[in-house]
Amino acid sequence: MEFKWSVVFEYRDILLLGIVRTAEIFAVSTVLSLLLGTLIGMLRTSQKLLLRQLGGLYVEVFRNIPVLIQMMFFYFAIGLHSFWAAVIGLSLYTGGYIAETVRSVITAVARGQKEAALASGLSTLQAHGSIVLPQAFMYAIPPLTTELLNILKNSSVAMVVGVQDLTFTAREIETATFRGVEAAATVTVLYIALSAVIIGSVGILERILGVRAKLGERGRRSEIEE
Amino acid sequence: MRWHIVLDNAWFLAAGLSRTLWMSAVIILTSFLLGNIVAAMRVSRIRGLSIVAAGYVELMRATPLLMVIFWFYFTLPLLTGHAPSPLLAAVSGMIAFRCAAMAEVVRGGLRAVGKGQWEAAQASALGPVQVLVHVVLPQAVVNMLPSLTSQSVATIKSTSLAYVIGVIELTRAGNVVMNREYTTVEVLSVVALTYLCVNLLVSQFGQAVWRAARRRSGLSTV
Amino acid sequence: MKTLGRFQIVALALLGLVLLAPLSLEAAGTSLLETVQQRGRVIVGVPTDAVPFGSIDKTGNRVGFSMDLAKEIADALKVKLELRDTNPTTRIPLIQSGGVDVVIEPSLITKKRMEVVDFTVPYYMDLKGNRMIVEKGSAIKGYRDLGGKTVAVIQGSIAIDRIKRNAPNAKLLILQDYPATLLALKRGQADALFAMDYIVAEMLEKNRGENFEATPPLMEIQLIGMMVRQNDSKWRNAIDFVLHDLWQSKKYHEIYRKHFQRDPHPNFSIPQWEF
Repeated sequence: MEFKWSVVFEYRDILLLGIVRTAEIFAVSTVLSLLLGTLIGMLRTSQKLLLRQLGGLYVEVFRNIPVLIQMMFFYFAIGLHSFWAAVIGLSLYTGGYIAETVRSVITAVARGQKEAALASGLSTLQAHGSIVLPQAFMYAIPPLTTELLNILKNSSVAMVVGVQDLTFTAREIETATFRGVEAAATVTVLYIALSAVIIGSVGILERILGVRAKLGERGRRSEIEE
Repeated sequence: MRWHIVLDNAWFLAAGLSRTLWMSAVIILTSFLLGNIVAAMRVSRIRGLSIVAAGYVELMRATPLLMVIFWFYFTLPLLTGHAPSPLLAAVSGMIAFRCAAMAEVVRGGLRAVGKGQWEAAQASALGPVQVLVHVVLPQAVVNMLPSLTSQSVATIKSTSLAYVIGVIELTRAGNVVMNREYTTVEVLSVVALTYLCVNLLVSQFGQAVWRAARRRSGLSTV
Repeated sequence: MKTLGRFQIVALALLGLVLLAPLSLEAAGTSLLETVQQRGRVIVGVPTDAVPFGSIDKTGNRVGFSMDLAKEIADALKVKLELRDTNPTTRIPLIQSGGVDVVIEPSLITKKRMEVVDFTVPYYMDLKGNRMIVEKGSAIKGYRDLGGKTVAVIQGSIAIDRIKRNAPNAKLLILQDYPATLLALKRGQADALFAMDYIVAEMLEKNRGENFEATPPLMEIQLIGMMVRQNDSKWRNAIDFVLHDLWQSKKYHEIYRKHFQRDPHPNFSIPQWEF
């Protein structure tokens, strides 16, 4: 069996489109799920029991239903457009995970806050700025990296509701040319590249914030999911 | 709202659920067993094994599960000449994918066992294998339990992707009913609710096991 | 960052290993006919979402034109029948890889497909070709009305090529199965749905109360054949002979009427060889 790699070149246009579409889903879902997750995470650490329970309910519901079902619900049952059905489903889903990360960060930082305040005579503002925030990021970054990668991987499910993302493109090239291996290999390489970009960007973010995330067991606890 | 459609097809949906649960059980067990092997490779002193294992984990970390399933169903057959059934392809793909995560869970569980444990056990004249089996592993397994539970739940959810290549599990059963009767809200809601209940039960079970294990070793169960 | 780079490279390397796997699609020189008879089983690919060719009824059984034809083939070859789900995206890879021995889907015989698979003699024809489903009162009647509109189709189907050629300004919404396309139409996510005549007829039948109508047939001859693996004349002939006999004995007509509620098109026939 010979490989005909020229099809990759022939279909570079739709490959590019696939990358763009995947990137779009990634970008919008990341923003939405970070916003949503932070909000719910804060609810989860609120003083009021009702708010904590509401947050807990959200997390339980949206983390336990498959992302495919959520996307299908927004597309087939509610009738949103492919892209938005996918993005909203994905954001609601990921939001639940980010909420838990935010919650554990806030809890961990609250502890650190107390210790910092007790240890030295720093004003609350100083304590927040130089101790709390960097600590918060230090705890948050490894699980957030995992969640970002999960958003990238889950974006592929969008093809079921009609989004022409990168995984869709693999199938498209295959159905058009019957060159399955070339198409699948190329798309997999592209996903590896995209994930490297994400991991690299987080690294740059760490550098900018002057923070080196601890890649110890705390970081690895929320490992690869889905 | 045509809820009666769900009742009419309840048997079919239940069959789909049964398939989902069977698949999940097989995938969780197999990927855990294989994950141990990959973790062993990962921590091995032999550079080659360690690097291959790490590369494999990274590969699965970057590739969508749907792509992995497509590899097993559409692409591998072109290379090997043997075409698996949708069920076999889906299960194999999911085992391959989940195995990487399990390997990390195992590795994390082992690492969380304090170095003091290793050293103390070795100091008490136990052989290295005995140290591993009687002292470190039990603690490592208890450490792994929370992550194992979440990986199990993730596996159950991920079986929904098998729908795309035609496996008749819960999601596809729901789809077939939706397609035949053109009702969406009712069917999807019930399917979603089913996954929710199953996963909640699994989570509770996992937590209970963890608590029991912790209690046995006299540790806190918080 | 250094660790990251190293592992990504290994990941890529593992991927590359896959390409070195020994490849032998054309196994030995044995015809599928012998393999099937030795195996005692023929694996037939049939659709599950394409009434009346293939679907799943309330009790979970597979029913349809394709299933009945598959049974006839298995009986004629004196082997057991094993059915496999296929759809437009999977059917050719499955033939190529040997996952199924023959595909009885409503697959159009096209030059592009002939490059990778072989077709039996046509086993179905309709003259009406494709049609579109649109909202009642829609202005869409044919290809020329599709400029700027969204048309729902299936990934891998000929519809995509047809629309690209005849209505290049149309937007395509590519989904994975037909009912999804109808749902998209219902939800306003597409202005029209493009499918073969019998599929359109069935969908309208199921949704009689709703606000849809079909465009007039787009009048293209559609010859549909069963797909088998390339360069295996013995196997292809074996199936051709079964079809030949079915037509001769009129069993074909019986099966056809059962699923299509009408007689085969007057211009259609399965070639009859005298000797």
